[in-house]
Amino acid sequence: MNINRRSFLQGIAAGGACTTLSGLVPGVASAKIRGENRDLLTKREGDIVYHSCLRNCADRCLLKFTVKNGRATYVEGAKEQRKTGSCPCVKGLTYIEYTYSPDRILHPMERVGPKGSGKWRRLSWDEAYAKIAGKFKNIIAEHGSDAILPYSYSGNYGAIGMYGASERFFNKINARFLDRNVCAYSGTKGVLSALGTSNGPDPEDSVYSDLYISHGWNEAATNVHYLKYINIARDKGCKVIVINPIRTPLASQADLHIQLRPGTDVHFFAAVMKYMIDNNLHDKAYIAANTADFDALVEQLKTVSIEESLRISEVPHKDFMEFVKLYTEAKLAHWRLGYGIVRNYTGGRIARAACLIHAVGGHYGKIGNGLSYDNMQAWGCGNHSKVRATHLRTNHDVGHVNITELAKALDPVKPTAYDKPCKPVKAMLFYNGNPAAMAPDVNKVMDHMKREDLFVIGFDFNMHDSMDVCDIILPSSTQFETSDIIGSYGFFDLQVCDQVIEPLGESKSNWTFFSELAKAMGYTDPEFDETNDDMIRQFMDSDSPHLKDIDYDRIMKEKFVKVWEQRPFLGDGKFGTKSGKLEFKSEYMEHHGFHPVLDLGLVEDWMISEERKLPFRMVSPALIQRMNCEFYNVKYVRNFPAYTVTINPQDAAENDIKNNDQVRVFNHRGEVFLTAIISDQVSPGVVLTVKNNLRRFNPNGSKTCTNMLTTDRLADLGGCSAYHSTNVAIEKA
Amino acid sequence: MQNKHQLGFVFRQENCVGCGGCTVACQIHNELPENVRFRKVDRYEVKKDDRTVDVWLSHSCMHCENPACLMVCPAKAYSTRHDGLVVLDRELCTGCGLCEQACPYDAVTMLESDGKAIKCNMCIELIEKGMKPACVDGCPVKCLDVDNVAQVMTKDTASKNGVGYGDCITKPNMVIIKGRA
Repeated sequence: MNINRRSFLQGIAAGGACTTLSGLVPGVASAKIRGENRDLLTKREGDIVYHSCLRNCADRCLLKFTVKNGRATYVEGAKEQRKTGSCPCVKGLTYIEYTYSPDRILHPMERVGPKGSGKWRRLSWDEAYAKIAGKFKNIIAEHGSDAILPYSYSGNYGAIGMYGASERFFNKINARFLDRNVCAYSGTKGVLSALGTSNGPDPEDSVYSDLYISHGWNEAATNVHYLKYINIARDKGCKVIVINPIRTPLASQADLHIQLRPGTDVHFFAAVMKYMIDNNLHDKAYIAANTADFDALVEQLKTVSIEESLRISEVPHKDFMEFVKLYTEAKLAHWRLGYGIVRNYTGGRIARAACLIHAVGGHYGKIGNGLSYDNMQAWGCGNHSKVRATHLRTNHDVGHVNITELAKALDPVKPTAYDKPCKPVKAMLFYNGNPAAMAPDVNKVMDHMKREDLFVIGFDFNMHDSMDVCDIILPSSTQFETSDIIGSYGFFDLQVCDQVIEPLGESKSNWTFFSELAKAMGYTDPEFDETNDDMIRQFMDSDSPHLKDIDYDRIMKEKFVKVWEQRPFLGDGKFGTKSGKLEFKSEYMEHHGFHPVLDLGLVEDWMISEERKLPFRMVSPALIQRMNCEFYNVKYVRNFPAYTVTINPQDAAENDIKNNDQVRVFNHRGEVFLTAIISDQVSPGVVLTVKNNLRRFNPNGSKTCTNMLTTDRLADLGGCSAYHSTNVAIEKA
Repeated sequence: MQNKHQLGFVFRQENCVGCGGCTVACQIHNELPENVRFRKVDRYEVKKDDRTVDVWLSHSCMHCENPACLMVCPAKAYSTRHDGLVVLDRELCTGCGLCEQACPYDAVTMLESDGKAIKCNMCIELIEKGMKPACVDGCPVKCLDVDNVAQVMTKDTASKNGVGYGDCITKPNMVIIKGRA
């Protein structure tokens, strides 16, 4: 072991600690204690760098990296921040392995055989820039700038890394707009139609709640640090209700689990509201003071049958009555609306209905109650448009492609966007995303990406299914190899991302790559000479009320700061709607062809008949040990199973399927081979798979993945995806 | 007679969501091969009233009062410390494998690379610095801790009975906390 001054001093400090604990004389205490392995501590010796996790997660952990001789050696949570505590999640714990993965791409390469042949030739960055810039210029000259499509989603959630870096480039060249409405948007529209804001109260105030309702949300997978707060509340007597077709970990621990049929939530809520109103259990004073058009709800509920609603939602009457009891007895009920329900054809309508029921219960405006959905206070507080240099765009008439409809937009003969014809795409540059894993109906997407006439560039740090079919692949650095800034979309902390290490190999950060590509295209705008620090300053140059008393110097010094928000949230009773009240009747909903109060449409209404008659609804939510299509190659987490399908015992028996059987899951879009888990974690007629798994890592060698089956039809509102509105059949393989 | 200085893992099973953070944090701290897990998390489906629920058991070495590994080891590679921790000195291990077979808690593994036994020593290099073991710091919901067993067991909520875990002849020292009915 090498001894330098730092480790020598730390050794003395450790020896001192031993003296205190063991009561041994100095000198003897520093001797090796039987069974201990002090070498394990060397990875914790070095400089500390603060950096926020930029995965697509509501926690946004603040990490502390140990760095020694330019190499990151250890990662832990920033204990000084209550939210993160001593550790990130199971995935974040492996960030050293993630960063130094042997799968890292360290040089630019171009294909030398047919697409997908796996034969590559190394390029210098100058060669790569020249080839891409030359091709892009030709495409722009021949087909227009809108023939170039960016593709990205949430692989990097930094203000610079997610949009700032790339948007400067794509704005400048006037590329086609990509509407990245994978998640949340249907719910956002639904919540806005009732509340006029999609923001909600501080999740840390959940410790004061006496009822926590988890609705379409698996905290253990995408918000695990929040459970600390729920557990504090539970220790004080808080009850927990989980509304979810899946038995999540919290559902197992809950006082009540409403395991309803996917997508039927509005029917269940209609039944609850009708019962509450008929039995005088609603909060009349709150409704009178803070809501508009309550009469319209009463009128509509006259047409609702509780028995029929419960039959549709498949909720037992006993559970229904227990829900009513817990909900109406609660004084401070906090409703956590999740991103699971919104990925449905009925998603926006469900989100709206949740807002309405919470008003019938009078649960807004106090510390400990309210409804949380897309808390954007900390994420949205900065000046994003300045970071993205939106002024560089000179042509806004370039059309939009919805990310969920990628296969339709890439069609070479009849490309469409939002069910209307659109111009063909001639080049696609993807980064922060892996279309071959995350796009629905992905077989079609792959067929198009493999076409020789579509120029495809991939910018990522690992080889994956999308990189396989590129013309040129470019090595990106991870988020830890550059600097950034961002807040959570759940908690209220704004946080820094100080650069931890230099980029590995020849990899480049998102900003370095896009600014250099712009220069290779011949652009001389000063925006492409700005640094990450310049862009962080621009982010902080915002008049958002949430940044009250927070400026660049403060955030860079303190590393995390909680942004300002009214507390209690909506305590002033001023909703963001046109009427200033919670609106039981919505012009927006009516304008979009839905019932203005509660729309009781079903998922099946929007399915083609071929799919409707298949026996199982397939839901494919997040897995605790993966983040979308990431961590599939990362040591220590990659072996947690991610190619499984959970089947109810009754369905398994009828199909002669046993635990660990290989099964074929299929519909008209394709077939996937997975390992069966038999459990009543799902109800009969519902199967559970894992979202966004990669075909290359399927352990059965079938090279199949979940999104070969999922629907690319959009949800009811906001152009959102509807992955969970997919029907399948299953048979033993 | 119970060691009043005995340290043990304290587990709030009612709060565990089975994420595996403890397992991975342990592997990273101890720089273990990927297929070696000192700490494992098992899922149990149990009946609760009229429904089925999932319960997780996070477990590693129980640092038993009468450790089977220590008793069967012909090389005397195991010892019990003043704080009750059962530690394995790998330099003394001959790789006979008797401890692996004797342990009722599946806490001992034979390492492929050198053929010797390996197990959780409760990160004593951290304990000696006044820190928590890696698994405890690696639990994002804070359902795992380390404490003085005698003191913790005086609480009404403490026991040595949980789903998938119970007291036995080796006198294990993991305490289960049931803070809610």
